Amino acid sequence: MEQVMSSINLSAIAPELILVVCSLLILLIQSFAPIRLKGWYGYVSLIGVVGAVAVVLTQPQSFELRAIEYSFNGMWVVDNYCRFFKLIFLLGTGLTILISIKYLDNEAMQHGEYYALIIFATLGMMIMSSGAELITIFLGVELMSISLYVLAGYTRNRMISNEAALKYFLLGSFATCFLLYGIALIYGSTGTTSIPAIAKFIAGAGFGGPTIVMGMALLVIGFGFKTASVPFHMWAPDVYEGAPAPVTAFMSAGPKAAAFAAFARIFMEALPSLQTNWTMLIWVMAVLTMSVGNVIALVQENIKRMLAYSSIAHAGYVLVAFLSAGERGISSILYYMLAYTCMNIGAFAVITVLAGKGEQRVRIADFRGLGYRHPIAALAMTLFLFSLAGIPPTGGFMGKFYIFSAAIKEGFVGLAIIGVINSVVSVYYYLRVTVAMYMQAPDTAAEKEIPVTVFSPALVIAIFISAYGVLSLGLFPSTYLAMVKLSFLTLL
Amino acid sequence: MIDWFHPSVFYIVGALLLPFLRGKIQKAYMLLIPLLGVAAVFAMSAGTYWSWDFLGTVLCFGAVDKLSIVFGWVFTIMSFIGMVYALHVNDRGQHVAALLYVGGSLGVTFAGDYLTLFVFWEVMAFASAYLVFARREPAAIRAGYRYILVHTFGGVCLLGGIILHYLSTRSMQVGPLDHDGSLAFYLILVGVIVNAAVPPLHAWLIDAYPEGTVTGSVFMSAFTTKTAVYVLVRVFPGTELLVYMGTIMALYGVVYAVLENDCRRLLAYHIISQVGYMVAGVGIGTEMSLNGSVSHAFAHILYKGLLFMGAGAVIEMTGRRKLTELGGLYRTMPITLVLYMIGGFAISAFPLFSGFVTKSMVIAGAAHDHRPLVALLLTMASAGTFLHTGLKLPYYMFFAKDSGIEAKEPPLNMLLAMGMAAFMCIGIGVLPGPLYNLLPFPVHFNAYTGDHVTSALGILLFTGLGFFMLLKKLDPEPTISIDTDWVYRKGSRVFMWIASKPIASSDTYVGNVYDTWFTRFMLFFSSFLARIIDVRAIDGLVNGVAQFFIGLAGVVRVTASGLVRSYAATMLIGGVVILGYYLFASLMSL
Amino acid sequence: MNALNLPILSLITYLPLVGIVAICLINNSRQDLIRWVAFGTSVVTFLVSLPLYFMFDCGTWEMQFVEDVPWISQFAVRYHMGIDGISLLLVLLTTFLSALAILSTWTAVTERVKGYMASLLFLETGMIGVFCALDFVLFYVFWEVMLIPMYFIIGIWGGPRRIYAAVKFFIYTMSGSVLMLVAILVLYFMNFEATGTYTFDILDYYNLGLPGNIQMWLFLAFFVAFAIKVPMFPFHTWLPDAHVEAPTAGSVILAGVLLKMGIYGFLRFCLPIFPQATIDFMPIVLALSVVGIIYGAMVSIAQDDIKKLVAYSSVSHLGYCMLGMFALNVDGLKGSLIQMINHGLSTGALFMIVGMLYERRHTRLISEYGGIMKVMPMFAALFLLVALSSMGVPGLNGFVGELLILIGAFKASLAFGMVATIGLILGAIYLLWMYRRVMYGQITKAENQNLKDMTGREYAYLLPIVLFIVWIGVYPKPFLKTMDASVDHLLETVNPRTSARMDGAKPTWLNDVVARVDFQQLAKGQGR
Repeated sequence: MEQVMSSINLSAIAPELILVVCSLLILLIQSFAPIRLKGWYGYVSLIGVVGAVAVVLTQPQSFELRAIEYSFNGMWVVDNYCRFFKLIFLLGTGLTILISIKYLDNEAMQHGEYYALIIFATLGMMIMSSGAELITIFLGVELMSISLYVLAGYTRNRMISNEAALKYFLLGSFATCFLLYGIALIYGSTGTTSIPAIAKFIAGAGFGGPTIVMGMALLVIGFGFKTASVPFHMWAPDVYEGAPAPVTAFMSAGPKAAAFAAFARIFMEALPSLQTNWTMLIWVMAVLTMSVGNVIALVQENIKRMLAYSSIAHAGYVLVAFLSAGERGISSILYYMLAYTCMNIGAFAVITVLAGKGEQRVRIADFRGLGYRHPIAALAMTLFLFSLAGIPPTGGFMGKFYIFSAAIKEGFVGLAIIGVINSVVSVYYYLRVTVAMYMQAPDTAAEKEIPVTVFSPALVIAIFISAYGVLSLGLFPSTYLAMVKLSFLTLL
Repeated sequence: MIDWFHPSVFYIVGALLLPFLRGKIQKAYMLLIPLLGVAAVFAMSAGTYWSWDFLGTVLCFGAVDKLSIVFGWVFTIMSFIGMVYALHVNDRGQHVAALLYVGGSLGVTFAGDYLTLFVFWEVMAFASAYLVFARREPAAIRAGYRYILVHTFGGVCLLGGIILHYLSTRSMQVGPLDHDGSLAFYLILVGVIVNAAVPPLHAWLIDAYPEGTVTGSVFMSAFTTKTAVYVLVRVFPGTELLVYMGTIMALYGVVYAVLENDCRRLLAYHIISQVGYMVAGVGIGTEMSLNGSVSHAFAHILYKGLLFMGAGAVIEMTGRRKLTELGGLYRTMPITLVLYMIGGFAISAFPLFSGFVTKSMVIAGAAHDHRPLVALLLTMASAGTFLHTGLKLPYYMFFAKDSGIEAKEPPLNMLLAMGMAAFMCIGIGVLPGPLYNLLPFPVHFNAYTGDHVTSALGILLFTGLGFFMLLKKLDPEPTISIDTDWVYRKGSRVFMWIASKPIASSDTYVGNVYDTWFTRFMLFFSSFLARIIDVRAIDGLVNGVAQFFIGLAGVVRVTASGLVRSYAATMLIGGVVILGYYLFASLMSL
Repeated sequence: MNALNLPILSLITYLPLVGIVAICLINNSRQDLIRWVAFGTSVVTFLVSLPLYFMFDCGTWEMQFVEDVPWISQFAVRYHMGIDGISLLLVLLTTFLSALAILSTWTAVTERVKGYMASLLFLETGMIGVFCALDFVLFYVFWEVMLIPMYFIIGIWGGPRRIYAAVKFFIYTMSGSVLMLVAILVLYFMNFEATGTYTFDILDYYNLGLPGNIQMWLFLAFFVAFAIKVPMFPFHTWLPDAHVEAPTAGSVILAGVLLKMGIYGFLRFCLPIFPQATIDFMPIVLALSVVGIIYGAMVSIAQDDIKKLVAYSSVSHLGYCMLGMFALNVDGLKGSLIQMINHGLSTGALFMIVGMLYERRHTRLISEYGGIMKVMPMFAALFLLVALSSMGVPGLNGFVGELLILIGAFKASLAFGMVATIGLILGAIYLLWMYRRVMYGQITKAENQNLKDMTGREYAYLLPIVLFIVWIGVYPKPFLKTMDASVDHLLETVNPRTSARMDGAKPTWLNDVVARVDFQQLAKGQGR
């Protein structure tokens, strides 16, 4: 692989720059522009996102395999891998913004900061995905996390929301310590934070000694928190439940993807020679994550909480892919995260529609009879749930199919079996929602008081996009797979 | 198609149409059908007709040769007589059943392959069972369903045998089985001899025939066993085993008849004894003996029908069945007496009566085959036969002490029917030529040789003499003699005690069978399966798994206490464990 | 083979979806229009599927009407459709029953008709797809897709315990099929190691000689999936729940077609791909089937709910299919194939009949009926005929299948054959007994006094089935002949030892019956 060591290369960070500009613009409008522009923040930010997407797509690389460009003295890398991830983040962000506009109107909290924060978080993710050395990645992590802490508590007049923010912040900083400490150890034992350099060093020195292994373990813990993998998942349910629905949607998709992006990059590119060490650890974590997530989700009454646990479980599936490193493994992560973003944000979009003002209708019981009052929304919800459950012909199925095929190829048949059994378990709680929506009579008493959110075009578009994504990922995966195939990392 | 028409079609179609007719037309119709049957048999000539390819095997409904024609004759003729006898009865069910019954046995007679044979075989079983049920008395119904049980058993054996036979030979053709002692061979044999009432599988016969309706048992006496004999001749000629079975049968029936008191049971026992001759004949398997069996079957159908009709007439008129309750009817029912006696002489093989020319052929067959013992025993049996049917039964029925019953002669049609049968008995006895010509083999046998006649007469006369000398000894006791049948009588009592609630008026015999057979006993078992095994065990297991996960979830969820410190603690513990593990591992590796 | 080469299979498969689109455009209030559109669609589908039979070439075991285009090139997944003698009749059965099923719930379902009809059509698509798919992934997709509409049909339009039944049905079936998915993937990579090419094409796996122990595990994975679907004995408990709760059309389709997919799966995958394991497991499977036959029959005797009784009878009947198939000989296989069709017709008809009773009295308890024959004579007649066919009375379709199966079974194992024969008797018992309790006797309930006899629409959907019941019973040749080639070939792939040449010989005896037993010779031979 050839390396281009150019110091400053703005084109390499063009999308990020666009986002920065866009968020600053929003803040400026907020402070100086007349109040009637309130409604515009969202659309401005959307423009920014779209612009970023355009740039990412047209970044000056040919879509040839492993075309890599390092810049900023090797701190920054642009390759298909990160570009694919960036597309995922931006998709998530765009959908989130579409959802949020109406939501914030309902909550009467239409402020620019919200969008600015979301975009900053996105920025963080993008930095994580294309940081070529540990400190850069760490900066990305922090930028993302801090924005999320704030967003989680955004509906400040809701107790539960504040609680979520606080918990997230405390535990998050706790995890950050692990991460940082891990970076420190690795730096200490290799003398560099640059990923290729670390790889070279370890390869040269053979086995890196206990400190580096410790570093690796600490990194696993840190990213384990960010990806909400057992036993570092505890924050997720409370935060997902407390945070405003759009924010939950946002952080259940993008940040998870970002965490995996960085996680995979570090472990595949920097620490490949430690694979023997991490395999067993990740194996256990994957099994625990899938099982705990799915099993606890069975008994959840609050749909947001249920989806939180389900997202934990999905992290478990991705860990399976992660474990079976190599072409199929990594590309299945990419594919799965894409599908997962579509279906999960889609689900949350519907929840935002149905939850009503002040999110009073988030118990599964509240969904009774919705199938007949809002057939379209219910239909979309059903689609997303079946996709999450991994039932064809949806993206969820293809993703699982891809992941498990990767696992089996690498010989983790046992893991695959555990995985599929887990997905059967998960079917139960996804079905519960459809049961409520279609098969149970609504308790008419509750109907009266809570007005259901009226649809806004933005929301409809969001739902439509995600639905389209889910279906096309399931029915005609070839195009996406073509991209994925160009984007995977391999163990160097 | 034109050159041959299956007589069964007349009977079966006829049976189906009969319910739609009323009164005179129906009666005429009842007589028309058998006549058509006779005509069809008269018109037919040897050959193969009506065979279709079905599932890769060929179904052949019309495999005609001399053997099947003989039986065709006698079955159709007997059906006519029986119909005449039953003309006064107006119970459509019975007539339909009877017609189906005849149709069935004709179907068996002309069946060219085992499949067809089996189907008609079952038709017979069920149709005949109805004739028992038709008496609609609890005793009859119980007997009827025992009858069904036995025949179902026989049927299953037969079917199993047939399938096995097909597998081994890839052939369904009805023909003599080679005596390879294979399971197929014995299964089919059992299936057949159940119907032939070979002891110990005979119990159903003496159990059911006396219970049947008066007209019904006339049919039954004629068809079931004789069809079985036909199949034996067709499939098991020369099976050594049958010789002994037959001989034993011949004696067995006679011996048991000694103690018999119910007149129709007594006759039933004699069916066994007579069929014994035929079975023995089949077993011997020489041309002459086979001829003997066939001709004897021919004659037997007629005179046994006659006897049953006579006894039936008496029962019809007096309403009593026990010899001890009858007597002195000679004054009031002379014609019946005369006609009955003709039958009695015929069965006891008096010269000039049909039994003589046929039975002696069997015995002679045995003798020519150098089986003196068999011949002797058979002769003795015929003596015993005379003793009971020819002397004892009529004596107690018509003479003996006057029971003071004021009975009239039976209706005209009964007398007519008996008359026809009697006429044929004598006819065959006097000129056996026509019958002999019908037989499958050329007959080189003349019954009327000096020694035959004299010896026969001698035996018979001595028997008669003995009878009147020992008259006192032979007084029938008003008991039911014990035979193998009580095993399943008792058995089924116990069974029904468990399994049945009293049989109310139920419209179909299927209904009866099921009520008695399955209520409770069967239900108990199956509902055990359904409610315990299925719901509790298997389904319980399935749902148990689900419950387990839910419960597990309930347990695990408490970890989500909502307290930051506990969350942090969990993370810490997790971290420590992981780090500890790696520390340990790397220290080991150092 | 496909004269005017248009993708007829895809056409059949996706026509119902067109119908769904049309239905979705109709206003909810115009229920009759919706019904007519749905019915029309299914009828058209059936008509379009008819040419399959006439253009079908019975001479070859090769796949016919093949469509084969790449679908997911990265995984070498292809959109490969095609049918052979094994799937032809099943496809026709599907289109046939779907139309009648839709007709049968005209009045039974009066609310949310749109969704209901859409689900039925969607289901049809899934089912046809399963029978036509020749690519593992494609097959799996259809296989799973089918669950969704069925789940909703049971869950939304079902009886009181519908939710329990629906969820149970879904999860039970799925838990089986996910294992199959893993097995498929394992196969996929094993095939790659063996041949060096990635393929999901089922046909490519037929000659893949796998080592015995691997075969065993993979076979087991497939076995569980299909055994649950069939359902075989220990895995059957979802069936009664699903059947009892499902609306009539649901039950008809469920019994008529869905259950066949298990058997079909065995025929398409287990036998040809894992011949060794198949032969190893043969005794176990046979035993399970026989147990299922007896067990199902016994249990259905005990039922006091007509529908449940019929449901359990399916367990027994499908036991026969399994028995015939795993007898691994021509007779058995053909029997099991034709028996699938028979069961589809007979049991489908039975469920329709139960539906008719239910629509009149809104109860399924046998005790609620009795003496119905007096008020509904025509109904009684047809009911009896269907019941007889279901218990396999000669002259009706059931007999043909069961006879062939029994012959096959006896060939395979005497003991199993015997026990299975007992199953026949039991079958007669529970059906006739039920029939007697429902139809005969005195009318005890006042409500039964004035039930109406069958309506024109009811004749319209019952008589076609009766027609076939009789036809197959009297003249099964046109149905059997389609499967000869495929069955023989299948057996050759399974086990060269039991190939057609051994027991497929067409018996040509009895052409010379005239030369019957020669008594002369016999007398010499036997008599001394």
